[in-house]
Amino acid sequence: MLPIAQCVLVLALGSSIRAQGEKVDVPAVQKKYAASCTASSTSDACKQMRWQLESALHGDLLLSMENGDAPPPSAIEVGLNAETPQLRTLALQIAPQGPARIKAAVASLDSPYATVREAAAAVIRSEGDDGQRRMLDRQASGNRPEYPVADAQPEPARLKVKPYPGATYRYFASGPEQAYFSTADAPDKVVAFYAQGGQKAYSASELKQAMKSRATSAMDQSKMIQLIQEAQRKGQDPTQAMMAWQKSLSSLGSDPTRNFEGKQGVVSPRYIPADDTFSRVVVVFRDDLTGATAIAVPLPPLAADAPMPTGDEVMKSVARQQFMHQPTIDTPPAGD
Amino acid sequence: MSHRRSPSLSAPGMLTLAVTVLLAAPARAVSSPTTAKEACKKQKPAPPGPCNRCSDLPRLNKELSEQQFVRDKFQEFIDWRLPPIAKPTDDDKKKKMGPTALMVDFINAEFSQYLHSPGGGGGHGRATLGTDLANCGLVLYPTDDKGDNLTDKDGNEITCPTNKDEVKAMYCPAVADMMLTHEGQHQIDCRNNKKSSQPIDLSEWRNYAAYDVRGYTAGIANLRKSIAELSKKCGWKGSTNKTKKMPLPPSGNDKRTDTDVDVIPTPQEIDGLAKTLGGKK
Repeated sequence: MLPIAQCVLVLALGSSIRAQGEKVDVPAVQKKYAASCTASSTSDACKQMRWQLESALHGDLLLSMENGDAPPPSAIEVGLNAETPQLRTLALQIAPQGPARIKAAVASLDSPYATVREAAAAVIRSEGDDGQRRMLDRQASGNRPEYPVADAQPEPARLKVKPYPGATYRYFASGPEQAYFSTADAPDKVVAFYAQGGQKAYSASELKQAMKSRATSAMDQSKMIQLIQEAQRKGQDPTQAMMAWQKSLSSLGSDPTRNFEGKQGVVSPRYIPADDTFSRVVVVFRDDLTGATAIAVPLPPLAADAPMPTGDEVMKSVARQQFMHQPTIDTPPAGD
Repeated sequence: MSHRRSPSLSAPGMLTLAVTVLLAAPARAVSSPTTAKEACKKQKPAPPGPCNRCSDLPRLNKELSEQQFVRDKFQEFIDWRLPPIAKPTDDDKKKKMGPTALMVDFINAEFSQYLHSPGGGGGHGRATLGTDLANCGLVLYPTDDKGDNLTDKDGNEITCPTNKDEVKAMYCPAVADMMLTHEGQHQIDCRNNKKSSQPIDLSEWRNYAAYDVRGYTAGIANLRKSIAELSKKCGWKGSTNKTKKMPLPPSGNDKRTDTDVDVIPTPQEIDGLAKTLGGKK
């Protein structure tokens, strides 16, 4: 029998959370939106109404096409500029071939929604010019959710370097391991910004040499002893100092130049370490594929910044592991 | 464009309608706070609409997106996230929450935020069905007229025992199957844990997250199968790979670390299938 204190949680366990849909009075929303909002309105109420109307238009477009009606050009025009990913994706698909569609597709590559970017890439692949198609080579690889959830621009705390003023985050070239920004400023100006405070900008060969020297120095056991003594003197936990030292060693094994040297469209990349341990190296280069100066900032894994579990949490985790290794007592799930 | 015809409202007709509405409206408007006895009084639900037409594919895909979103949020708590800590500015109810409740509260808030994003389609998240760990039985969460879960005087959500037939009477087959498969997984895990010589505390947040991912994954696999089958009936040619792997946390007797789920059409393909062949059944 479970303790009384757990009863509230027990009842809640394993509940399927589903969306409770809301009925939208489309004509009323249309009227209210027309009276109080414009396309550039940024208030929450206006945004919600816009999305409701776009969702309704998406549904209406599907229904009208199901009945064999051609989608009206005005609806397609709205769809190509829609914020709702479902409507924008549909509009990219059904818009007639031509400059408006390709323009919308290029703009949609910077959508935070992977589903929209996929539809845009499909249009560019089939109708884009050479330059536009080459831009697709800059697309970040990796798994994306299949549902329309917006990719989030990394927060400054995760970025850990100052964002370059006025630079644009490029969703299509960014991923969980790297944030990619573009700016119209010259690479030299961007390099000067990141080299403020005495950081050096390296070429690939200079960087490798510097990392090698750093590795040789870090492997020196006396350095480790020095770090422990320093931590003790400051009243800090020597274990933490050791862990930080080990972490700095691990970064020396990676090659920050690997994804840039000799890659298509990457012109004269320069590498600016964001710290003394070379754990994070910002890369600045002229990107011929996007026609702008690129700033690539490596991102740590999400788990890296998560706090360490407590001793109690570790024990509970061990208990679960033990449970997992018990003999079979029931048949595997059969869809019930 | 599809239009539903409104009934002709001649004066006598209008009167009849008004009388019907007036008689029907106050029949049983239960609102929170209430008691389980009052909330669980059986009422015949309205029959569910169909979901086996091609034009239902976008709706089923939206349901799938939502389930996958919630599943992925619980997965984050297995992979790297820790339950949030109540802030001094939070209300008393939140301050009393333990890690599991705070985790679920966080996921509900994230889900609500997702639903109110451009891709979410509106609405709010709510617990619909559940598994009572005391007896591993199926429970449902009754709602008020606005669709909010009913709560008791202490603010706790009320649950009522239910069964498969009742669930099938409330939801269309694809959705009912998904929900029952989700809860079926919890019921199996719950029974196995009870039989175990070393039962674990399923309400502890790490276990809760792992077992909820198992439930969502089972439901998602079932819904993907329904979508794949319906898509094929609607002219989808299928994909090179019939299935793909979805991670699954192992449990006591189930050592699998992933499970096969059906590959389904992309959202663009679903729009295409819905608009070209929809609603002709």
